[in-house]
Amino acid sequence: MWRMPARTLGVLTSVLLLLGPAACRSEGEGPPVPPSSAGPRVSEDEIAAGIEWQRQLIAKGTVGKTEFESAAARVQACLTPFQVEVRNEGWDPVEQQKILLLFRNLAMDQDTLGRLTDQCQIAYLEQVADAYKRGRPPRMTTKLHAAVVECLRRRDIAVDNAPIDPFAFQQALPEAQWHTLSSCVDESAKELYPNLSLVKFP
Amino acid sequence: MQISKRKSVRVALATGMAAIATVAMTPQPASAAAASYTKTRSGCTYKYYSSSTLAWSQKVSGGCSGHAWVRATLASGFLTGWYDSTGYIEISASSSNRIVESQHKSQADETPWVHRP
Repeated sequence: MWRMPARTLGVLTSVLLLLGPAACRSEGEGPPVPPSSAGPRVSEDEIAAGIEWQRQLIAKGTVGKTEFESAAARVQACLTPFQVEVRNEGWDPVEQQKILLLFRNLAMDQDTLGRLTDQCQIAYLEQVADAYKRGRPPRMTTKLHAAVVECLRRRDIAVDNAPIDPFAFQQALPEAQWHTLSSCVDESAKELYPNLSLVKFP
Repeated sequence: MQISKRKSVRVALATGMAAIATVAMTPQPASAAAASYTKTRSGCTYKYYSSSTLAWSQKVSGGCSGHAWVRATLASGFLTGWYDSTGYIEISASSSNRIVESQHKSQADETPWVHRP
């Protein structure tokens, strides 16, 4: 049985709280009270419609790369009216569970940009991304994994049978070596994937 | 992924809290350099670090279900998505496209600690 995620429930609850007083207001009580927040925002109708689109997509069956990429494209379309540029840097090579998306509108303050990108991702991507991850443990690309192991060897850290799961890889090393591991992932990823704007680990 | 100050305010409304209280409790940004911050919430301790090439969040201790979250704005003007982990999560950028702002939080629905290195 499908259960509504807590964050989704939070959004819908907020919609009801915002709309509720307006719906119950009787004549003569003055103008409707505007939402407490100002500035551009994704309409609650679009968020609700997007969440329903995700639910139906997931209900069809397995969520694969095609569905994830479709959801990412909808996030981009959702942000287009706000002149937000979306940069798709492809699948994260460190864990291959998500597409790296970056967002820019140089005329917009970061708080507004963050709010809009959050709202569009909640609408079109969040549940699809969660569904994609289910049954697909995080794993480095083969060439990144090999490069990281070689980097660690050069720094006198032997890692036989190093896990391909970056979280497990980290846990396989003592905490004192985590910084070296992070450095090796960072260096290796930037060398192998020079177009990435950032490296996320684990 | 994600949560903005706006959403935190909405959640505050939903729970009957005054939105202004949420804003007032927001940790203030530190000086314009690398900085770290320790947050305690519900008996759990989280550590945050922010510099021009590295930003990380870590749940150091406690049994809270909240993850460690981080996202950043790069010099190119691009804002990353939120990344989270049950323990430690970091974002590294290159010196040619450095981090100009990072945001850190200890659970999805929370006003982040913001730093501009």
